[in-house]
Amino acid sequence: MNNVFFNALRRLRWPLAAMIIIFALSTAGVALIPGVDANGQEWRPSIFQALYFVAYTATTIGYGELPQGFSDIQRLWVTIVIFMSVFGWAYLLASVLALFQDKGFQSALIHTRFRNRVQKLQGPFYILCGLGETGRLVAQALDQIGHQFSALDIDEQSVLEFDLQNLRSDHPALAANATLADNLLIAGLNHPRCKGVLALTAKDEVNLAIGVAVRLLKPQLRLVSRASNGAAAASMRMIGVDEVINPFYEFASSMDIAMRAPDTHRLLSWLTEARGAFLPPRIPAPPGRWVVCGHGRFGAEMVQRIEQGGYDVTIIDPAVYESSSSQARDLQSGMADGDNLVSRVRHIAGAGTDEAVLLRAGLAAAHGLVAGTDDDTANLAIAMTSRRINPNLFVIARQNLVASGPLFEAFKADMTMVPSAIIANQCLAVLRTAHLSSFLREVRRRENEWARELIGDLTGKFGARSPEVWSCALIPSEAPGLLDAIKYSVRAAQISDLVGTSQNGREPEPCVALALVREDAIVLRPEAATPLKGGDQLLLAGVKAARHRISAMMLNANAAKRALGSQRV
Amino acid sequence: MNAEKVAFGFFILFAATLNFGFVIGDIDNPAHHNHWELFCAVAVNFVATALKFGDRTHIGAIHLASSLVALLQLIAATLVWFFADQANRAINPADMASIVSLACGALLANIVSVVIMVVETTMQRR
Repeated sequence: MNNVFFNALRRLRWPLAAMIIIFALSTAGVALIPGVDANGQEWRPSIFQALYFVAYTATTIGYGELPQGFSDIQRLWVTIVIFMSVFGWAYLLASVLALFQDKGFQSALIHTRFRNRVQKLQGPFYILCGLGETGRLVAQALDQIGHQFSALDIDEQSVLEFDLQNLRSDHPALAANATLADNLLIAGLNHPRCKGVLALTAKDEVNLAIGVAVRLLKPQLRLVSRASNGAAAASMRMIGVDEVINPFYEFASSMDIAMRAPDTHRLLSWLTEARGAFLPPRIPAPPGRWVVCGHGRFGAEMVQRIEQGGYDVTIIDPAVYESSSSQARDLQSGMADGDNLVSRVRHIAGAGTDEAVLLRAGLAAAHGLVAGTDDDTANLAIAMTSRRINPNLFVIARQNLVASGPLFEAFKADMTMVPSAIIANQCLAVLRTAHLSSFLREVRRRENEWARELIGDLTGKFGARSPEVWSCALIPSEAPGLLDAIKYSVRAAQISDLVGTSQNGREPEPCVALALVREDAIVLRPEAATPLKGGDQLLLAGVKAARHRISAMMLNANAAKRALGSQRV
Repeated sequence: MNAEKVAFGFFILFAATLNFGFVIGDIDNPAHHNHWELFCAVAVNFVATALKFGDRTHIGAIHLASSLVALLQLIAATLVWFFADQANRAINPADMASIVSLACGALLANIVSVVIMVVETTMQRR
């Protein structure tokens, strides 16, 4: 504010000086020129009376000739005073209007307002870079779970659209280049309550630049980045980005898991979807031949995974060399496993929208289709044609724009890949609950059986709706009551004390400990009898009532003692 | 030669000289202090303050501060004159002394302004 205020004064100093001079001259003139009073005597207004007269005359209020009627000489001077003051006001107003029309001044005002709003943010907040479709989805979700954030986007239109979104609270947003460190600082990078930065712009190099800036200026901040290919993801990991989200890779690897371990896939998507989602049905992974239309960033990932799963793949893309040799495939996808004796990949040059090309690719006998070009209309056309040719086909469709959502919903593909939704989901899973992402990473390494068992346990407790997943830490700031109770308790506290014990014959609210993090080591599904220590962190799943009960226990020593004591004989 | 710089220097110096002219004389003798001179000093000080608005340098800030001090002191002196005049239709020596001492304070601030201006000028090497 200060800067803008002084800048405005600086631009207005000459008009202000002119006004002061005009007032001073007018006052002096009125006070010096003599008039004649009712008794015919000469009189002069005092300096104060003159100032009073000029003040109401120059501002066009005009009370008349006070304290008494003027002589003609005085009136001559007053006429001059009126014209001088009109000139002064016109000059001042013109300068003020010019100042507010000035683009630089306007942007300075907007910047200052944004900076002030960021400075006044009360709770912990994130900096959201990029307000495209993905950014706005993430913004919506963050808003819904009550997180605060400040947002930057280089495109003014996106910021306007963001401002028009119906969000619960008002979040500061600025149209500015997020790769410039200055703008990140304005957005609150140095703010003590800034918890992390989300680089979700559509351009990898921009996200990388944001990552570099954040790592240099604030190395301890949480940093989540979006990447659209493996090379960009690798360089982001190199500079120390905590979570790199590559939607094509995420989808392809979840597809891979879906084929190898369907239950693990169900568990993963159940836990990362918004809370209360229904347990997704098992995806039938067809053995046999797949047809992939479009061999770009997404197609290449999919081909690699499908091939690893042991299927034959036919690629349809206008830009591929038509061949079936493995060398050509290696050139295309950048893979270097030369020990593949029989190539399972066939290339067909052409557009997937062409029925003849689809037939030539053997679609009639195929089991799966990936419509993965970067054009929504083409993807829908491919998917519709293919389904007509082969109604039993398992169709995966790529939806690039959020706006085409209704069309894809109407088509009902077996799986729809929406990059922005994948990024938003992943981002939320990372931000909402600490340790959830490391838990999910561990889960991916487990066998299908393990996941099936866990799903069985969870659905037995919570039904088909997913439970709330949250984490808690046994540290003095978060769990003073519980730590106090543990200190004075006769026996060691156990996970079962926290998760739930039946009291007065009543069954506790359902709650499960998913993971225990102790000194950077993670234990999945810890035993109920595991003793708890200060500094432990738990990942819990349960109903809302259980969450309330546990947080009460953590804060209130009496509640904790009751829970610990109830089992003491 | 720059009209803006001429005006800037003119008003700062003029504010100081008018202030000095008003102050000089016996401190409690109303005959030595003309009310028109005080009026001019206030007006010129107002202009000098307005011209110093918005300079973001450190010296600019001190400039503005010294002008604001001078202006405040002169306004206080004017108010004392006004109320003394209202109360007994004439200025007695005790009132005059307090008016002139207030204006003396303003003179000090104006001298600081002039000194800063001179120092700033000598620092500019050609």
